[in-house]
Amino acid sequence: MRAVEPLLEPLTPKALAERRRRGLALLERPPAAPAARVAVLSTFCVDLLAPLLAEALTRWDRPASEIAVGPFGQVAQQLLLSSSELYATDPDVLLLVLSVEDLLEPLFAPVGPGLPDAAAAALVDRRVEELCGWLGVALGRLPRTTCCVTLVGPCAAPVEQVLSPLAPERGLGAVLRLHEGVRGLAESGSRIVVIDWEWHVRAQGTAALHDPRLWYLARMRLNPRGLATLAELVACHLAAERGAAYKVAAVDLDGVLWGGVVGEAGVGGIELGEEGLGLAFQDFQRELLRLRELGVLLVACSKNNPQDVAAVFAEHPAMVLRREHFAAQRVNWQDKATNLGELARELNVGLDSFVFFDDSPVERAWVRQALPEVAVAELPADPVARPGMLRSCPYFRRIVLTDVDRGRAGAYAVEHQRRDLAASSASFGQFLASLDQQARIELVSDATLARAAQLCQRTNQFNLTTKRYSVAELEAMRGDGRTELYTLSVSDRFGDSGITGLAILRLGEDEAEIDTLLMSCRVLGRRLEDVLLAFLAERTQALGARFLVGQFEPTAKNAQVADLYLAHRFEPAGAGLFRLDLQQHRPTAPAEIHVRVVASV
Amino acid sequence: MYEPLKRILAEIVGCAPEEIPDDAQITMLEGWDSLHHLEFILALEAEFDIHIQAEEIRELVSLDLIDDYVRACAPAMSEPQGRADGI
Repeated sequence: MRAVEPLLEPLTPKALAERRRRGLALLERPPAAPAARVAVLSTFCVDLLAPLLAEALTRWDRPASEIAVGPFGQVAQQLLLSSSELYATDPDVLLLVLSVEDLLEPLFAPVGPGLPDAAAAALVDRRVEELCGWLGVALGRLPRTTCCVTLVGPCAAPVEQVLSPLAPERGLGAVLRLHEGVRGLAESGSRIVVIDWEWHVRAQGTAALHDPRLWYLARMRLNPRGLATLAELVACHLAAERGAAYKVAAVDLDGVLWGGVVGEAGVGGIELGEEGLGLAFQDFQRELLRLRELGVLLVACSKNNPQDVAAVFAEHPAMVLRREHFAAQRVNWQDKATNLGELARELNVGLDSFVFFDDSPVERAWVRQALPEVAVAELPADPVARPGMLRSCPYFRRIVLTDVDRGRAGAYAVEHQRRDLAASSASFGQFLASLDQQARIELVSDATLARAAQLCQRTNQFNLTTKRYSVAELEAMRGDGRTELYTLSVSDRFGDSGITGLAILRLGEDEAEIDTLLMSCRVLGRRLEDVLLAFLAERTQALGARFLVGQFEPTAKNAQVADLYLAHRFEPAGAGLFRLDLQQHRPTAPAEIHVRVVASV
Repeated sequence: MYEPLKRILAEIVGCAPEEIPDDAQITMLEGWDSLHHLEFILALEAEFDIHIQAEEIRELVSLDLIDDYVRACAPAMSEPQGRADGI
């Protein structure tokens, strides 16, 4: 699904040249739809960014049909003039590249009186306020555009000969204030994504990303490596913004969670503890635990005797991870591809949401070959490199955490209890009644927009049209006056699953069309689709329309809903459309589910 | 002659490598500008893992000059694989 290379890996000149070449070819022959139009505005020359950005965006599964790099140093004009090239491009993504030296030019001027602290602070505040205003204008005119903003630099303090960080000549206060101000732009709108450049490039060091020749000959503040880094960060942030992160970390046990082979060395003989290499293995476990807290599901996939593994979990005092931290496990002698397939079915999650961590190159090669949709992490051979690798690996990145992310791991543990109840119920109706489900239907709000977009991006199986709407697109729909967006939240006697469904209803003359109908795999098989359809039917009639129209757009994964509309007595209307005459039949919600509509329409 | 150089140049100008004559003055190519020149120099640096001084950048304007320069900097990389291996 997403070909991810380690973020900010050291780029050799060859690799850089290769990326640029692939990018040039992509710009030459832009992909067919869906592809994004990208506009770039900057305070310095970034004219060589286009091929690198095209390559990175394609690798991160967001190909660009066009990358328009605007004239540098004209950010204000381009953003403010409605006749500028920016608005002619009508971009899906606007990338704004700013440099500290350019924004605080009086502070960085090589000669002159310098700026006292108070004046520098006032300059910063003015700049941030301007930026905020310009972006407001631009995003107002571009209602579907996502804007990435990044602030580069400075390369050096205005005066390096004065060493005290508090000396006004060093300008540190103003620089930090400016960075703070630009970071704060993320709060001024859900469509602004701030890329914290200075933080992300720390490991590379800024010197490696600059080239004085390019500055003097072409006003470029970033060299090709710097531009490739920028391209990678932009692509990775846009992927995170779409919610395209992987969901499951599948880990091997021997040699990964601990050193050595427990079947041979015994519980006392494995390498795991508070010192030396044992600590590296323990820290790897801590990083996994952190991922779990971020909403990643952990599963174990190991060739081992189950009783040996159980003994480690039960007896080893240095284990950080506990059995209950794993949403599922396969500890047996089957091949790992088969085990991963079973784990995916058990969790009801696609294999393309899995990242596989194994210390054996042979196992990695086998999984890569047998299951190309699984992301196989290149686990470093040296265990001391692994905690850092896991911490910064790009698979699980997201812009912000939603409450659902935070509660996901716990929710899967509860799912096991639900299954036990289903097994002990005499009939499906009895099971449904004993679940005591509460369904809540609400209009999408500012607070739930991010989750709604995440569902659009991540839901594959129960998804009738699989339209991958972004936050910006959903926001635009919300305001268009003819579209209603509803979330479905579900709770039952075991707990609250949160927002797990989305329906988008588009109003026409005599009919309302279901543009999107989807539910998270966690709540499938509980007749919640009946609740949603009953609500949509009711809403359609309330709006004065007679027909409810549904659409089924087949994909490789949504076969389970192919007959959904037929099963609810819709008539086929051709071209994947289904139509229900609400005067003939009105769907009703199951009596066992308590439905509450809190939409104030 | 100069196949690797022509390949890089062709990518930047957007033409076929064969369309570039051996005696081309690259600054005279159609649509050539200072940014193209810089892009070409950077592509050469990446391709041959060399570093070209700012002063030399503006002097590298023909294929034979560039070829000489690249060979002087990185002889093993600019020669065909067979000869470099001593075959």
